[in-house]
Amino acid sequence: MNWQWTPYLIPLFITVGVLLAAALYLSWREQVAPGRGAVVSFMLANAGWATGYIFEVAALDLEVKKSWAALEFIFVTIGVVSLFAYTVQYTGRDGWLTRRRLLGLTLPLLVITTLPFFPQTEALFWREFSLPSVGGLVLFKYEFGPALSIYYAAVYLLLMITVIWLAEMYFRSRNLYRAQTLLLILSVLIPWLGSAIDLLEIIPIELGALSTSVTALCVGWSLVSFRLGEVIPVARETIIEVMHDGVIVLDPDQRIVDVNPTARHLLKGEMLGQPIDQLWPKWPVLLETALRQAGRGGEMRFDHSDGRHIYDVHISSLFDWRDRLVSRVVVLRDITDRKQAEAALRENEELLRATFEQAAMGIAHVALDGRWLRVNQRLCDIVGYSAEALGTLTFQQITHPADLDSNLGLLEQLIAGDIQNYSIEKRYIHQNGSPVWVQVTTSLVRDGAGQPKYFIAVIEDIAERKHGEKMVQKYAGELERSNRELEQFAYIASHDLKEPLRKIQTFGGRLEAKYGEALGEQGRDYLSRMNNATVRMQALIDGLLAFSRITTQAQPFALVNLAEVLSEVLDDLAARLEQSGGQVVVVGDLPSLEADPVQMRQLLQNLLSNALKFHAEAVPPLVTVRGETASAEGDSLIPMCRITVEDNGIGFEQKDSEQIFQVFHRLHGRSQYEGTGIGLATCRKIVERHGGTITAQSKPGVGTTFIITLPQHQPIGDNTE
Amino acid sequence: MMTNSSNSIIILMADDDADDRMLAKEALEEARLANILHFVEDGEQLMEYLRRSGAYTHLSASPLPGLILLDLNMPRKDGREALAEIKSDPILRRIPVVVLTTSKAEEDILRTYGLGVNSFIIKPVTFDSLVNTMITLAKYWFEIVELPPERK
Repeated sequence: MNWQWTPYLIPLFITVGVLLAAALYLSWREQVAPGRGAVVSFMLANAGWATGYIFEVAALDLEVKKSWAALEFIFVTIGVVSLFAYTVQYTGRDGWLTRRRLLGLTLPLLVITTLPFFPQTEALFWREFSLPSVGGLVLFKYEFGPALSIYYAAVYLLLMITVIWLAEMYFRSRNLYRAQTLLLILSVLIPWLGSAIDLLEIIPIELGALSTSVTALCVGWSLVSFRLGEVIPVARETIIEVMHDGVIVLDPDQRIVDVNPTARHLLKGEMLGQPIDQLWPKWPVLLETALRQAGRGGEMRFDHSDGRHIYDVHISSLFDWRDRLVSRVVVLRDITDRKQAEAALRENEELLRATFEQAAMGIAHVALDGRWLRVNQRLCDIVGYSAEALGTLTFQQITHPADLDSNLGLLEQLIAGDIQNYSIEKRYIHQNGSPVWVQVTTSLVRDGAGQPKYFIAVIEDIAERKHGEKMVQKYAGELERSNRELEQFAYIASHDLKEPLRKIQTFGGRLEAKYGEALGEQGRDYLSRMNNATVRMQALIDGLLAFSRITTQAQPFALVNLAEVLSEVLDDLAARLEQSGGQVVVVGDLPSLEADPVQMRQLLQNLLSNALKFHAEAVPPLVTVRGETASAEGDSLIPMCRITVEDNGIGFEQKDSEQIFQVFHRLHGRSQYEGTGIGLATCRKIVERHGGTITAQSKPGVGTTFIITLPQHQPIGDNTE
Repeated sequence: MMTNSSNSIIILMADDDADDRMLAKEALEEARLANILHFVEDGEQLMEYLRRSGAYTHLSASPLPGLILLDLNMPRKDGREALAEIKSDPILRRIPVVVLTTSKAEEDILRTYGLGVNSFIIKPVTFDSLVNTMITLAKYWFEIVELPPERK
């Protein structure tokens, strides 16, 4: 192999070196810029091309020269396609350049470049080789084959498209990018120029590799040097295009030169070339305001399909390196949501404030050390201090000393997190010195980290309630005392009253026994009447004692099965039943309920006894006892039971139906029916103690029905002892 | 028929009510019981009688009563107190005590039995039943039961 040397090779070597270095640098850079791959590929292809050319020139042998020259074409193809790919990305036509398309572009060209490698196809590519010597240098010359012509046409076509697209970009893009785009255009034109020079054979050495290397370096430079190239113009474009904010670019004459899709939508059209003050009469005001307020121009309203939106207008001015106004950029940001949120927030605050102020109870925010942070009017009214005065005080200062310690203890628990809130009765000292009873419910507000911030206290004036409680206590005490006195009285009365009665009876008996004969019939009769009177009196006293004991000796409520009680009562009355030939029928189930067992027995005993007693002479008594549950009555909504005791006795006038429940009231003479007249009064008292009712319905000669309602449950804590 | 020894048994009745005393006397007569019935009107008198002190020193030679009928509610010293005293005296406590009272109070019943009373009877209401009670008492305590031998 023979080689020749020429100084022309030096720039080529430098080129290769620089290209490789640049390619390496670009590959290593942290920031990935779109198109970098294409640029690196372009550089490497060019380096390959230049290297190939070096060998082509240096070789002396035709075949060697031919081989290298053929190899160069492969690199050229890669380079051109890379440049094309870069331009595509640069001008934002990425979507167009799919892998398939790229392949579709590259493949035919590569196929053509393989032609020179096969003797059969070589002629299609090139022919008529010669090795002219020019200025001491042996060069490689050839004639174009048809394939090569097609190849060249294709390459030029690609370059032309590249330039066209770049030119379009130049005109389309913002000023900032124009310089860069121009550089790129020029750098793409260089290979063309170089190629043209080669074709015209103006100078012996082909400038192709060299010139294209210049291109590669310019492209690399554009990628790196322009700081804006951290994001390639296209990326910026992309941002602007998809931005939610509207962007309008104005030229120094306030004409619209660019709008992004959002702005287009807002302006209802492109409006390119229109002066903005024609579109927006308010423009001068906006601009002036923006200049004064660092860009913030004001607000504008635009109508959308869903109503009116409010936009924030921001105007930036751009100057070139000579401080001349280059452009103004108007950014429109939709702040409707924010405005709505602000309005809602204000409304909410207003709501809270109103609630706080106008509540019927005192509300306060209290600092952790006890100072009143915020109080409402009601609290001021309760404690008699103005809001300002309270602001200088702590709650400890106006709390009654006796209540302070327990209060503080609870606050500590609250802070420690042992309890979530507490509610206590305490006294504040009113401004006028008097104690005020209040119910205070306190909770703790913590910040996001769980640290205590302040207390919220709700204060209720319970002076009336306290007074009421005191009254109730007083009455309860009096009632108890009264009951005790009554019981004592009843006991003593019955005991001491019965004593002389007993004597009367006894001596009456002695009188009759010893002197009955001497008395004579009338005397004996008188004695007998006396005796009857005392017996009656004893029964009356016993009845009264029992009546008084309904309250004084009441037993606690327990679950009582009335059916059982009834059967016990019937056992007791067995003798009377037999005697009168009477019958008691039970219909339905007698319920179980909460009641005083002894009193229930008394009740049923009295009623049945009455029913059996007051029967017409010849008519044996038939008593029907019915039990059922009734729905809730009245305010208490407690389910009730209803018991009816129906007899076929002598009955009475309905007008007397209330009177019969009075103590000692009797509708009949003693000679007809015995009795003290306390039985029904006792029944009523028992029923009322249980919270029920008893009424009577009757028709003379037909019978009487007593209707008793009793609640199934007694209120808790209402047991009297 | 009552034996001689039972005839001479003294029954001591402590009751503040004159009527009751009279009735008791009559009932005993009606029952044809020959026992001697002595009366005291309150607890003080009762203790003086039993101790043969005060107005009763003349009885020091006489035997102690064989049965005491005790009313609970008496002035000056009531039956409960007297009962306690009797039953704590080593000699006197041998005398059977029957409480005869109008009081039905359960506390009284419990307490007197607790204090050592021998029986608790509620005063009968009718005269006839009073007579029967006397007979039964006499029969029970003097015929059926063995009393401790007399001591001074």
